[in-house]
Amino acid sequence: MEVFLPCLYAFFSCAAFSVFFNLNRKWMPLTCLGGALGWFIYLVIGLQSDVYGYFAATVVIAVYSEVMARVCRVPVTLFLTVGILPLVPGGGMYYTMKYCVSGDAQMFMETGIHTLALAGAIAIGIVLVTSLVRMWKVMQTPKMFYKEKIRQEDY
Amino acid sequence: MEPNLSTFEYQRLLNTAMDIGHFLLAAGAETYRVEESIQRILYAYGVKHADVFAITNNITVTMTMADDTCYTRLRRVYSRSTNYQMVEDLNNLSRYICRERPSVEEIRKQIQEMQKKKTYPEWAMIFLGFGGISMWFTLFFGGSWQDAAVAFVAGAMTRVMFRIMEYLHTSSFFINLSCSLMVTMMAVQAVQYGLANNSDAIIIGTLMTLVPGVAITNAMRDMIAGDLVAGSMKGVEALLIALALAIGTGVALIAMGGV
Repeated sequence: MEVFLPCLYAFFSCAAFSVFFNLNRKWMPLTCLGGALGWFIYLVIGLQSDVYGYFAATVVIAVYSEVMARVCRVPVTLFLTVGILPLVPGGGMYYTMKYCVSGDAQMFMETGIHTLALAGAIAIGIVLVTSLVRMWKVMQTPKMFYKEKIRQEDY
Repeated sequence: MEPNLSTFEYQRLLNTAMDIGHFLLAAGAETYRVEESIQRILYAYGVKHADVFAITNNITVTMTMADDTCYTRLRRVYSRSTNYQMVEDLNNLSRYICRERPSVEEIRKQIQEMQKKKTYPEWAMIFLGFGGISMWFTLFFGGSWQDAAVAFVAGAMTRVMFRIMEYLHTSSFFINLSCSLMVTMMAVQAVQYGLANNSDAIIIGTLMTLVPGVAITNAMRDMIAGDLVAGSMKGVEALLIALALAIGTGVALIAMGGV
């Protein structure tokens, strides 16, 4: 239950966000599943280290988004931006600000650096997966890549 | 095989491709998608060379024909929001254009039909969208059901206030600042009157509606694709919004004695 309930909340948060983003209703269950899956991975892996858990969750969400985007033939952003949302360190940002306001310098630094580390983990996760997918795409279609290069040179 | 359009037709094609790029950018697509779509559409109709430069609020295209005549268009994109239905439809349309090469008339007709498509009504946006986001995220961040109910009201109020201030052409920095101010005041008040017991969860959950998660993700994706200008623009935008939220919440916390 400790794992199940937060994942359920993450699922419905993503559903509410897909209303906000005017997402096609057809893809709604799949995008929300991405968010819930990411949080599940974080809860399972992030027991020892928060940052490592965030990184693993981001990688899983990014891979899931790339696969689902290929399956449904829609842009990757649809899946990625909605799936990442539960991971956005809103709590960390809020507590950093709160410690700043209350003048607790040590906790402010500690929380601030931890929040930055979490944001960095998300960034590195996205960079890693997206770059690998790009490489894979070029390897799949070397002809297209070649043609575009020629086009740029003949100008 | 190359379709042979008249000069006039080519200019119409360029304008239509710009329209597609404009709507893509206005609906929250990444910069590289906009550039690639315009470029592919123009190449599909046998343009010799197409240069596209897009950043978050501006698109510039120069197309060079086989006889070395050039046409340049510049388009400013003023208002942006997130509309993924539009991104998906336009993406399908540009794929269809590259495959079938329909006439310019047909493309324009399809774009018009796309714009007529219904979006969610405002009440759904207020209650399902903003209210829902606030409620579920409050639960997600460890709030109780009472906290979630307060957050639901605060989230709905945020949307109403957001729309009113947007209608009055207020700057986005000030909108975010005053919305976070209001949310924090409501949360602290609710806890003081005993309606809820965890003001932190309410504030974090409700502010998730304003936190620039999409801007950060898209900034990252733009940076990876090599669009450093567009990426850093979005990054700075996200940073400014986060700053506005922090200032608004901080001021309210000090004023209400919630610290």
